[in-house]
Amino acid sequence: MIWLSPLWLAALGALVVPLVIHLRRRRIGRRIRVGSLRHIVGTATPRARRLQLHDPWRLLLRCGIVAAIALALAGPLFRHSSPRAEYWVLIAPDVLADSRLLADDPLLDSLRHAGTAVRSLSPGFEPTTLGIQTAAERPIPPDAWSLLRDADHRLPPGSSIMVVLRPRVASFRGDRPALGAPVEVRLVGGAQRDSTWLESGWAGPDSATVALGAATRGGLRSPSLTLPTAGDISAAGRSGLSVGGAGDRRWAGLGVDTIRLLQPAPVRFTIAAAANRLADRHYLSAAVAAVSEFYGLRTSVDTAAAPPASGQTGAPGAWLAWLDSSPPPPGGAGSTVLTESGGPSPPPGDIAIAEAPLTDAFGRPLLGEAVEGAARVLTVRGRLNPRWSDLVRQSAFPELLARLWAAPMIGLDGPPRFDPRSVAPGQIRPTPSGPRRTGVAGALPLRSLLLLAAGILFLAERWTVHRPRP
Amino acid sequence: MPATNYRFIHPATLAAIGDLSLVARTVVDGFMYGAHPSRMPGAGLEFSQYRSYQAGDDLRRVDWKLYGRSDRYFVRESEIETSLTLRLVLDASASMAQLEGVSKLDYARFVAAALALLAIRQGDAVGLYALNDGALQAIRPGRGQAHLHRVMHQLESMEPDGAWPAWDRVERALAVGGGRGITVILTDLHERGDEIREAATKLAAMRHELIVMHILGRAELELDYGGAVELEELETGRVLEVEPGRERAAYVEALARDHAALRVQLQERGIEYERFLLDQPLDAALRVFLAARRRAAGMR
Repeated sequence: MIWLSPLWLAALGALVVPLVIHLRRRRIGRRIRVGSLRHIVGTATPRARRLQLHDPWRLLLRCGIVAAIALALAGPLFRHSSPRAEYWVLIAPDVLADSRLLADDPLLDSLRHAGTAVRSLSPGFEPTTLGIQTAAERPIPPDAWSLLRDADHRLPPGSSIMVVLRPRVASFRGDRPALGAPVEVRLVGGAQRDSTWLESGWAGPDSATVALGAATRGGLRSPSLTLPTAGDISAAGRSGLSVGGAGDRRWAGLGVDTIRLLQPAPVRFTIAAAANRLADRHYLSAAVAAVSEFYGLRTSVDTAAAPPASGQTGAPGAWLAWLDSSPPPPGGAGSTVLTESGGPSPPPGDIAIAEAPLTDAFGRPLLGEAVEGAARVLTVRGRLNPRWSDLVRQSAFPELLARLWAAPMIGLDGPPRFDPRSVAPGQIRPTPSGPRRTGVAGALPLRSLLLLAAGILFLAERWTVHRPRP
Repeated sequence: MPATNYRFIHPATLAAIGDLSLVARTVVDGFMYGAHPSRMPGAGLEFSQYRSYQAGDDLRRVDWKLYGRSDRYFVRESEIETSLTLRLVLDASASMAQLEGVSKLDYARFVAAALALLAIRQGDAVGLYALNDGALQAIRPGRGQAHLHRVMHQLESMEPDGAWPAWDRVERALAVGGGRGITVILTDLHERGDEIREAATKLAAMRHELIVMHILGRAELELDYGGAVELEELETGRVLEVEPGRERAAYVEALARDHAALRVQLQERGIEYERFLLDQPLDAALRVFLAARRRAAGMR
């Protein structure tokens, strides 16, 4: 028997309550004047009478009610047998697939030499053996916390867990659960080598630009490199980085990671601003220039003071930023018009960027999307001006613009493949354990049963009180 | 109040009224409402004949309209006026002080007052005898409102004390008037020997139409006093510690056996036995009385 809240067993002391009430009711309470005592025998002496138990069944029922409630509060769990405590080593699948990690890490190397049975940190926790894994692509743990909670429920009390995984934030989504078993998290694979990946790349007529993502314990960086494309080359100073292919089949590779280089066509971005919105045009132009330079796009920015002719805005893929209080001109098929709402009213809809709706600090949608005619119309709440919003001064603004405007050209159609940032040690340790454990695998909770028994006993006790007397 | 859906006022409510005459009117009017709408005009007297005025006759009974026409005094007579005598015998012993919402003596008072009012309205004569071994308070049978007031006053002034007296002390008072009429004994039937049953037997032997109205408390009947209690016998002062739950079954069985034997014993002597509980309205007593009155009127 296991007690989830054993302190409640002290409530069994309340058993004296029905006993005391019972004995108190045994005392002579009052004197009643009656006409005759004929047919009444009476008791012998008060002392002898008080030592006798009167209506023991009712007393038993009342004690049973108190005991059942006290035991239910203590949270008993019935276990048929007591399994031995276990020690699980859970290794993330991508670590299992990396033979270099297994060789370099002293712990994994010792486990491999000792032939210790380990389990994969994946649903089902399949047992495996280190060293026989292939280099095939293995799924990354979707949510390490959920997997650890599941493992904790499977293990008997007294067990402990070691988790081996790469330091990636995406594996630790959600709240850190309270686990019963002590968990030791071991991060393998240093950020110096494994936290650099290929973000995107595009090829120009005489060079290629590759955007890298690099994560260190100090933060996330996104450097981009411009490389010559005259034949297959290996970039100096960047180990494992290579560019190859020809024509529209150019590619870039970094280790086993390979991406196709895009060849974006020149794009036209027209900004039409009223005289009182020159500041808005200035910040938007800067953001467009930043995106173009970072991603190597050949962009022509036209900062016209007057509305362009409809033929200029109607080309497919063309963008028109309409910074004026008057309605924008109708756009052509496939074109996009970006406008400002100029007021606090919300945009007509909201748009999801990177899996989440883009909102302002108050949780209101920041950007609305609508289709007017054949054109896509994006409406920004307020204005692209620091007096309205600090957004235009933040790095998030060109990123937002890149995902809205340049995503099809630079290969940023969906959310990032993964979040490879380093995990701060304080995010993982110390692992909470012990008293907040709410379930034990293989044990039958008896609380509901005891509460039901208390209810039945109460009904029986009431029946003994109100039953028709003979 | 028991589960029965009574139309009548609960005795404990009547006890709060205080004025016994008003209690009697409340009970009787409530009982008679709609039952005899055409039989209760004024004093309830049914005209029978005129006779010449004689010295001593009540001047209120002289028919002044007839005097105006005939210049002679005539007195109205009714047949009912010469009908029955109701004797109310109340047990005023100490045991009648037992209280269950209303005391047994108060309950007996209410029944007696209601019966007296009903009988007076019917034109019957009413006599009252309150008995205990310390005093015998008797009002000889009589008619009229003034007599009814005397009966009411006597009922209100009664106090429970002592026990039921021996027969020889009450024989002279109760035997007056021969066997005509109805005698109602209101008692809890708590006796040291057989003195109440002996009195009932003797009265029945005098060809009284006799009704014994046995007044009981429900708790007394079921020994339902909750937990352990001390019971004090009112007539003797004897105290007994009692566990009602322990003794209930045997007590109820013995009491039921006793009551059954008593009922048989009284019925064998032609005595009607009726049991009333203190939480029952009084209309049952009036119904019993009217039934007995019809029987008595048929016998005459």
